[in-house]
Amino acid sequence: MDFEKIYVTHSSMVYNLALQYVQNIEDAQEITQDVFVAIHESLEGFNKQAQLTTWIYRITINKSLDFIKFRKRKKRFGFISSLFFDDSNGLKHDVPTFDHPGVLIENKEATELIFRYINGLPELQKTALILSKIEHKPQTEIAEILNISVKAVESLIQRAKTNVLKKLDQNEGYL
Amino acid sequence: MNLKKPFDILNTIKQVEAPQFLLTRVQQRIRRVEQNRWSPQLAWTLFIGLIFIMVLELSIVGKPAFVYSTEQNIVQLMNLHYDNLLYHE
Repeated sequence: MDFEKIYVTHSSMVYNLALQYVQNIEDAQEITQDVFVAIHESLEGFNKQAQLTTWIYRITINKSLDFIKFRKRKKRFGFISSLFFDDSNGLKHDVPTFDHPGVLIENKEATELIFRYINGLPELQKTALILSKIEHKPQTEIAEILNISVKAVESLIQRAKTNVLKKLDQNEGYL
Repeated sequence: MNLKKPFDILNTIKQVEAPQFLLTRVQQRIRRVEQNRWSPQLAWTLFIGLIFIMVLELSIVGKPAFVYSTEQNIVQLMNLHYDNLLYHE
């Protein structure tokens, strides 16, 4: 399998999925690079039991979630170190900015708000919701990507939507 | 801000093209990973070297045991005492 051909065919898919997780350009670029380096490393061992696209989706999801966990740890460390060191120049840790190039300017505020609550969901619920509502994948494909049943996907999406709406209601008085 | 249907707003998110320069960066990272990787020959050489050093170490560390038993034989042959009770009578 030609690596460059795989890159050309799948780079936008990976980049967009990473954007849905981190909602900013720099982080999405970082994740995209991580994904393709991992693909290059594992390409020989790819057994073709799953489809290539499904396999790449799984790598992207895992790398995106890993990146988010890493960022949270960095933020925690930055906060703790700021307690001990005098930092008159500002925060030691990076605050992620909402900079999603796929979001229309007129919808930016509302979308940023929804993403704030999506980001607080458990990993599987977040992934199911992103794949369903933003990537517009059918539930059968989501089930294949996540290696779970269609019913489980349905349940995850339902719970994710309920949790987001609950948070919207609690914090914004939406309902 | 009026959020009439919160999930409908997610439908308005557009797909964007990945930046062109990313492929170059990916290739640079792959090259860096490959340069930092140890070759199998180097790994085997180091492993065999380590085994050799351990064998050498054991042969040196094990030596006093032979020396001690040789001394014991001499003591027995000459009918000497190994302990020094004379000075403690």
